[in-house]
Amino acid sequence: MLLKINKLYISIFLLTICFISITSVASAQTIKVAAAANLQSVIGVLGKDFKQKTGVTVEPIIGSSGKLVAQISNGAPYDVFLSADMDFPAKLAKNGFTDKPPVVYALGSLIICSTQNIDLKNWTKLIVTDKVSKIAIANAAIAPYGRAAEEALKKMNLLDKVKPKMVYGESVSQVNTYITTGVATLGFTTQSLVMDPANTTKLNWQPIDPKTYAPIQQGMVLLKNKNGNSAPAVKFYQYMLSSSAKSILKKYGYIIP
Amino acid sequence: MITAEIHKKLNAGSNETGLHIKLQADKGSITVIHGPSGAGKTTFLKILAGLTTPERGTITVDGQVWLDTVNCINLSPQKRRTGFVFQQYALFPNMTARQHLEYATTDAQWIERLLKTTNLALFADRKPEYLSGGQQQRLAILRAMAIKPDLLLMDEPFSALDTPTKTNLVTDLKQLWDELQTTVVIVSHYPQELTAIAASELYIGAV
Amino acid sequence: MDWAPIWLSLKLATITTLLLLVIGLPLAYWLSKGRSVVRVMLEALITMPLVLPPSVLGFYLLVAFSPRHGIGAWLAHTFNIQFVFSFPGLVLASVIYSMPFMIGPIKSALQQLPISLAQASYTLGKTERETFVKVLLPNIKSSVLTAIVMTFAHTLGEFGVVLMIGGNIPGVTKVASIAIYDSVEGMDYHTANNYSLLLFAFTFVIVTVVFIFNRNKIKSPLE
Repeated sequence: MLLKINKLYISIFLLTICFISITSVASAQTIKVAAAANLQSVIGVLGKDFKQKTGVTVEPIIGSSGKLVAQISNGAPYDVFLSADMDFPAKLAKNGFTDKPPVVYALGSLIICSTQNIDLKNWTKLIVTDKVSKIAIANAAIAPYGRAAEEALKKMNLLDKVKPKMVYGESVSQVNTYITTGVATLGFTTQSLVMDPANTTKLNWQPIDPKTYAPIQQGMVLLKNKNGNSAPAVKFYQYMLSSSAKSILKKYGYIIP
Repeated sequence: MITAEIHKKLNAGSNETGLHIKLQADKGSITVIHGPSGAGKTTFLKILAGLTTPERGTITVDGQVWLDTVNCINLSPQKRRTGFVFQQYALFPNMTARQHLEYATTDAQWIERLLKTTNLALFADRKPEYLSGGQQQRLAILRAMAIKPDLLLMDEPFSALDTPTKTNLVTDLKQLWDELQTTVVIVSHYPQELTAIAASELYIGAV
Repeated sequence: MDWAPIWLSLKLATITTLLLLVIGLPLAYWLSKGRSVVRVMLEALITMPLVLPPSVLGFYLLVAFSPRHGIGAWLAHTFNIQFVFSFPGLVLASVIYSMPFMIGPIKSALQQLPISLAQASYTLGKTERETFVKVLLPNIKSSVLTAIVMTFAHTLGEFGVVLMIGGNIPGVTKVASIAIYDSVEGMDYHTANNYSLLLFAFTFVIVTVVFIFNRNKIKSPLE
């Protein structure tokens, strides 16, 4: 009986060692990319393209830019950070988490979107009526698209009027959930939501006049690793500025500067 | 006048035995039930009270049908209102002795009389955890008597009492029963002590 | 410091606990009476929020009450109310989410009472309801108190479900747990700490007081 138990423990131990080594071997060929929520649909496509070209797997971590910065500031082991603005990655650079200041990899495009069959061309007049009961917007403190949306509303003198109807998603992803499940009449989100072929919900949308908000300059930084920047991470950083990445981003509604 | 005949399956561990009991008692009489442990004496009392139902049976009390399995008559224990003295007393931990009786009846004079009968008047404001075993048993009896029941069922009601207390209590109770014309059925392991007052005996043994 | 999230959390916990007390007592009583298939399944259903991730409950509530279809659509159309993004919606979610904490201790305590107590009461001619109120309930007081406190504390700490269906509206659905999460995300650790300390201290005090109270109840001979 004792011998049987010993055999069991030994097998479990060996299996654990195997498992650990397999996963650590896998990570040598994997890089962790922290991506702002608006990139949810496109990061998978970029990752696939990158893997085809280099054999390196991209492990995306999606969240609001603010949350990702908080995580990185507290030691999260990411290799590259794709933000939805320039301020958040600039903060990281200032605090020594990167070697270089952020570079713009794309310009974001803000849209207003709904699952309902309402006329969004005149959204500025529609939004103050009773037809619109709830407006979903990303939390401006941590999500640049939320900030841009508030900026646009303020410019149109609508912010105070519609504030009582606003509900805040912690990221653009949550805003998308609110829009697609229909719990919010409409919401402000990224154009890549409607360009995503994986999205099966029928969406009604209009771009927001880019003159009403400061351009959403989406910045990227290569994060300092205690072991020095890994070669695959540098490769991905360069890939993001390449023409293949740019054409994918354009397809998903981003503006290439 | 009670007439009862019941059939019930008893599960005693892995053995399943059948219980078949016939009882006939005149109004105001005292019947003592005795027999070996586990034979089904307590179960029979519970059947009479309506707390459990036999597979087949009839019970008629003073002309009123309490149970008739063939005709689907089965009066609830609330409607039967039998006075029941449980083997483990079943006292309410949250109520004092007096509150037990007040819960059963609003007749204040009757309550005082009952308390005096069993010398519990001094302990009326104590909760069961502060009463001795014998006092608890007496309280259980008082609570059953408080509703002035037509049928009183007692499951080993004197087991915790010493002989002199028992004798005095039985005498006092007999007086109350005669006044109220209560029909009494007592389960006891010591039927010989009750032969003085018992009109008849019923033996329930293993089948 | 903005006290609104704290008041909101306290309001939510209080209303939820009171509602659960009203719903939970009869439900726990019914569940304690037997082991029929219906009872077992209902008990399993009630216990689900204990083992499911809160986001599952939040997700299903989001979909169920979406004004695009089903109940949500009917409510929006007939009464012009929407559960998602509202305080009543949070109350509904909290009631479902904290129900096992109210029902569990009460049902167990009822089952541990000797069945002869209720039977004695019935032979005295008392109805089930009177028996429950005057005999059973007074004898499970400490379990009821534990259930109330656990429900209250659990609702105070509720996060996952609120995150899903609350919409983070200041003064309406931005409860303390969300405010803490928000401030951490925005790296305002000072505010996060203030809210966290307050919630911790509050919960710790009520739980301790209840436990001391229960201890004394058992020891005191003068009741």
